[in-house]
Amino acid sequence: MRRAQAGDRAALAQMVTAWQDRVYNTMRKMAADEHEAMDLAQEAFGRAIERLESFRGESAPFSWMYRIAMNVALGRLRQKKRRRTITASGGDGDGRSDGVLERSPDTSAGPSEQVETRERGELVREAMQRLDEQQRALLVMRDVDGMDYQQIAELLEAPLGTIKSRIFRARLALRDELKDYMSQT
Amino acid sequence: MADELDNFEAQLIAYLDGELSPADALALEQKLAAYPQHRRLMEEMRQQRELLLGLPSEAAPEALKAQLRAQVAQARPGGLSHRRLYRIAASILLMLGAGIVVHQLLPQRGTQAPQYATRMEPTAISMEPRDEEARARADERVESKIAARKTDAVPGVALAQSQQGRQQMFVNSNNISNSRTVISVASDNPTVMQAEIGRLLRDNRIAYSQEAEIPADTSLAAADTPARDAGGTQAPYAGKGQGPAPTRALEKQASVDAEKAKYSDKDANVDAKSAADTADQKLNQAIDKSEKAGKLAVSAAGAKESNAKPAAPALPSSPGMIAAAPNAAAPALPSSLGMIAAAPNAAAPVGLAKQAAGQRAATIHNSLPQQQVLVARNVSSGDVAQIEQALRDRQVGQQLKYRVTDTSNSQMASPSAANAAQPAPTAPATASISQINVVTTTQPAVAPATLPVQARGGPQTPAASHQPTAQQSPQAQQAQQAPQQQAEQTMDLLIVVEPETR
Repeated sequence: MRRAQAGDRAALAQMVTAWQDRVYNTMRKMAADEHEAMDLAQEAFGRAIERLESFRGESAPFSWMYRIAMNVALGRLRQKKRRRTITASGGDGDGRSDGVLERSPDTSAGPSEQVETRERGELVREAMQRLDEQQRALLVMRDVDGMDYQQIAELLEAPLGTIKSRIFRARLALRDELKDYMSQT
Repeated sequence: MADELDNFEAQLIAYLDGELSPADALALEQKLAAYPQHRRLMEEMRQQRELLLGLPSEAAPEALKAQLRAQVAQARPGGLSHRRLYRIAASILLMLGAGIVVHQLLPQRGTQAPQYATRMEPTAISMEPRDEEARARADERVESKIAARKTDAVPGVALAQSQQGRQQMFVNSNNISNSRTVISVASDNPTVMQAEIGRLLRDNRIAYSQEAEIPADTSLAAADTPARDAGGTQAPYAGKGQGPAPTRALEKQASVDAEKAKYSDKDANVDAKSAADTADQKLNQAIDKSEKAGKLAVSAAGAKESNAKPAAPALPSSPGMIAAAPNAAAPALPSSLGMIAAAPNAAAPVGLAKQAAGQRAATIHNSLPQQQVLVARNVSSGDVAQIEQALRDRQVGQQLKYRVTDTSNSQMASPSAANAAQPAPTAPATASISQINVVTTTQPAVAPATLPVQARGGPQTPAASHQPTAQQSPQAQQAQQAPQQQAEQTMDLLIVVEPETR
């Protein structure tokens, strides 16, 4: 990291290579599709390179990168939500029109285990997309990426108790989104 | 829904996260068994969590990796800190701008500190206006020839013309110690003021000499000068507490309303032969220059009140330096400051006043008072501070009741005698200080070998009135070098008195 800060391009490339899969994976959970995830990841790395000198070593390098990526995702998804709300004004702007459950995959086809896993993943991913972007981020950080509450509180600059409560609400919201699926299982 | 959790929700979260103690976990499980809806909620959340954890971990697509590689390649290693570089550049520009503003403001106040030239040529250097190129070239020729002859420096101070037309002072560093303080005083009556400052110096037992600028149309004449001791060295205002006879000449000039006396006691260390040769050379050059310039050199016959036998030509740029040498008249060199270099046994120019036997002198009379410089060497910093404070308090100007006395009949009386005699005053004069500017500089130490050997701080004292020669004992030479070794404790004090209208 220090070498990258000093202008060592090779060190910077090494750092990006080490982090690109993890960052993309997180962005994939936050984004609606692969392209959006790629855009988010690219923008996150671009901002990190731009602000490389702002890293003070007060946290782990990847935590610093993760914070940048999550802030990029939250900002972009917030903007996207606003645009969607404006364009869908007067209509069904709740975003559920393209919900997975409404156009759920054909479960009648005899699924193999692999197909079942993939379909289940798609269901969860699309259920996540119907959540508020902050709830989505909280669930990704806590239940997917395994961050502890304190880290999440620091990243979002919110009190620990508030973070715990919001995560609980996000879980309840996701449970509601997956209610049909879980009831089937 | 509020962000705050109730106790049950908090327990559920802790249970799901495995953060409850075994006892608390058992108590919660018993409670959940009593409430089927809560037990179902717990099951759904656990299942949901497993779903999230079961989401496939996806590697970055190759397209993204390629984009990131390109992004890294485009990142400039130096550009990573461009923002910092911009900040540094902006800071430098701000500082430069501030410096320019300060530089623009300071000279306009009319009290700018004198500037010092650190040229090491053995003669006083004049900085003439640019439009007088011919004179400047002549100056260079004179200086180079003098330097070639390796004559000792004629101690002195040159006053130069700045671009703004203001007088600024350049000090020949050969004869000024490393540390020096220049007190620039602007007065409504510089002649009277400089005389009073001289008195102040004497009251503080500070030996000094006086030098002054010569206006362009100045007549040159020999005049009464300080006496010399038997060794040929000048015995002017030296000796602490001993009043200088030239001051009396100055007083006489004050009676003629604005004429000045020019003094120098800095010739004590000038080699006689070199000085004589130099004077001859300078005289010839001065005459040549005057003739070429088509301007008549002012001869002794034409000089005001002068009965000097040698011609004393004045160059068109009449500020000059006078070198009194054997059988040589005192030529006015194109220096902006009148200086006197009298060599031992040199033929004495005859001045305005009568000349005492055994005395040689040259005095330059000005029709208008210009800058005058009082030079004292090896002055303790305490004395300098005291003088400075006295001037700052305007004590001199307030107390000044200058009485012009006729000193034409007195010869080199001791200061104490002069003070005690107090001839009948002719007319009181007053002067006040309008501006005072003090600059103290400390230059890097100069190797003693490069310093001109000269007596400092009291030619009347035997130790100081002799030149170090081969015949002198090592102890005597050490005694001669002592003042230089004490240069750190003392400094040269230069007081420039000039009209307040400058």
